[in-house]
Amino acid sequence: MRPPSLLKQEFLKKWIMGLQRCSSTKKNMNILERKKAIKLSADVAMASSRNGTTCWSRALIANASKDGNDKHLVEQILGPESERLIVKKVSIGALVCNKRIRSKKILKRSCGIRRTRKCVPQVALASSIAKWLVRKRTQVLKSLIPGGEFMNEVCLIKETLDYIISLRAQVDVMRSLASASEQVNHS
Amino acid sequence: MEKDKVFMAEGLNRAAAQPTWNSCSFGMEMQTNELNCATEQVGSCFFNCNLDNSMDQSDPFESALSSMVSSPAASNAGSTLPGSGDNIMIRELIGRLGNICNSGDISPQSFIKPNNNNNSANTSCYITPLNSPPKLNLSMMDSRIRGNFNLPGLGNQLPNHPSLAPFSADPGFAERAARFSCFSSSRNFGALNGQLGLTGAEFPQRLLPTMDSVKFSRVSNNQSIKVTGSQVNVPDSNENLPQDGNSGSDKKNSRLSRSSSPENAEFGDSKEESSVSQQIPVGDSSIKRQNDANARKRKSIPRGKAKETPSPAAADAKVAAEIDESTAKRSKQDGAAGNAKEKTEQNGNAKAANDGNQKQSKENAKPPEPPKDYIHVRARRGQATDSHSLAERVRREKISERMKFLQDLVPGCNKVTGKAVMLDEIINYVQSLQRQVEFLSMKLATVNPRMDINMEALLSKDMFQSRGSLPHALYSVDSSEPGFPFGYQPQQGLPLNSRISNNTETQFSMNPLNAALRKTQGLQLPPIDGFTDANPKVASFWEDDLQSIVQMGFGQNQPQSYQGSIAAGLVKIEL
Repeated sequence: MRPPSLLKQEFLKKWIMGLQRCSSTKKNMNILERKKAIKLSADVAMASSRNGTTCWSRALIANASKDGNDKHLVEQILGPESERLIVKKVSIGALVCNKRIRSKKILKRSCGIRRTRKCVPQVALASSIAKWLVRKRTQVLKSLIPGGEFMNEVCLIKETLDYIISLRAQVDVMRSLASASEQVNHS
Repeated sequence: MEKDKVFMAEGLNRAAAQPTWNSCSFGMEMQTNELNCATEQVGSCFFNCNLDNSMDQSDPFESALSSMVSSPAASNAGSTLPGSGDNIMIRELIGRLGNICNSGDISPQSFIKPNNNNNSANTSCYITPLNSPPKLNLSMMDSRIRGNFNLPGLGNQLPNHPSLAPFSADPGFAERAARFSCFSSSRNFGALNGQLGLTGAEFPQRLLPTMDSVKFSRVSNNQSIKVTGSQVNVPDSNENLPQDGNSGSDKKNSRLSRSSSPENAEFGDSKEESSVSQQIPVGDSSIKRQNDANARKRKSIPRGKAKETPSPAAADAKVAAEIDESTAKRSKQDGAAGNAKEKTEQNGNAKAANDGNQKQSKENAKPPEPPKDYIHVRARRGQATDSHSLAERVRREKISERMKFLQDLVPGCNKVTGKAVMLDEIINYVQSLQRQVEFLSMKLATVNPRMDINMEALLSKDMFQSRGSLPHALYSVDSSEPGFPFGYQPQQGLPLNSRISNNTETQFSMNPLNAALRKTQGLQLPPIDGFTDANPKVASFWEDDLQSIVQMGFGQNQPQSYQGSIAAGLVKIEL
């Protein structure tokens, strides 16, 4: 794995570039817009540092570029890679994922009747309760990780690992920048 | 069939002449791509092998094989014409085997001498057939060999494989082969013959990858092999005993397969050889029988990948502890026998005993290798053995392995056991991190009303700030934060790096942006939702570095323009 400092460097570089472009394109944004732009550029920068190797990064970029307003920003931040990252991998991944989801839904619907009766485990078996808890938690986790709904459990945990690392780096960099700016502003 | 060859090669490598083998391989590595040189060196190596060991008649065969074994690897490693070089080696091998087998009294030296003496002439006439396409080569070699020797009349048995006829048909050869490859003579000869029923063209190519794979796998998977060997040795050998009718031989088989790991030196036992040899020719029937009782579950990845050796079994490294060594070899057999056996393997259930696999084993000689393309699983004792549960088990183990990583990553997860609670912690942590991002972006938005990151301003402010003011600004949230005790050592430069545990900062850059960022690392924002900064130590280190940077960097660099600083700084930024 890359050393965290490298990751942070890359992230910061891309992020600042994105912020620059943000500020150049639109002046006089209100605070919420600014915040959104900052967050978006940070997320995209973080995702692009993964270079499309992880599922969550691709999903994040895909989600970001879905919205028309942000799409330009995303493309600017990503630069020349944007076509590669957005078009090819995401679309293919989405196709596959959608098929998988559809098939899973069909399967669930067919077994749905049986399951509704069992939504709360009546039998006080520790194992079944544990399984149910785990299942609930994984659902929540899937909702948290970008693109998590498409993954099976094994991939989900791997993606979570990567996502946590990236998030941490992102938080550290943002925090340092925020405090630096604060310092500058106070003094 | 290639199993035979590989097995024999393995046997040769093991049983005798390790140093000579090494010397041969070294000799091989000196090869150039030139065909003449290649054959010449092979010849000389062969010659050396003979001289070094006071071996009997069969030894030249062994050393020839070993030299041939080493040569493909060497030539593959070094040559730019791997195909032709290897083919030449192989054909040399075939030729020599034929020669050896058929000439009881003809010493290899005499055979070699003409090669050595009349290099150009002999080798050329020997080589030029090899340059042409394989089948043609072999036929020409065959005719040459036939001219020299009398075939015992088994040539008609393999009409399609003239090249193979000379040595495969010779019972003497078979005996020697059996001796080295643990095949008993007569019974296996038929099997050997049948298994050798590949075309002449196929044989060299098939031989090559197996040898290569043997080499690569052995080199790369040494660790796991040792682990496997040691781990698997004890329990499985015990369980082998009561399992089958062939329990005795099975036990030996199991021991053999284990013994193929480098630590175990039991390989060369003849009694084991004979027992193993009995297994092999029985062939599919026994395999099927065995597999029904104890077979292995395997998830096969497309067979096209069967020959990919260096694919790292890193992901499977954990599974390597349970891996059945022998199944890896099966992946290499695309031969006629391979398919049937593998199907039975796949259909059957796996138990701790790996008898079924030992049938196929040539891997009795081979070291246990983690498979390249299969995920091999062995059911543990007392566990369910149907394929579904095995798949489940593999899946569960993968998940638990990854959860362990997560435990290290998420703070406070060390004491927690159980998937549900750990998932809970993970969810909380991810949520908190995401919320921190939101908060920080909001904060940045408030701090920067104009949405510009004024690095220059950051720098200039840093310049005027005394070092004393920083402690006031610092408010450590985490009691464990060692920010202050380190103090300020402005003149220190690189030695600060030694204190950095988490971050691998190795260079100091004079970048103003860098300085600004580093300076403010010491500031701690109040944690959100009770989660403290994951790397409190890092911040403190950076602060110290920052001091030195500010001292050194700002003094030397003038604040650059906005664009310039960004452009220059972004490259060198380190946090």
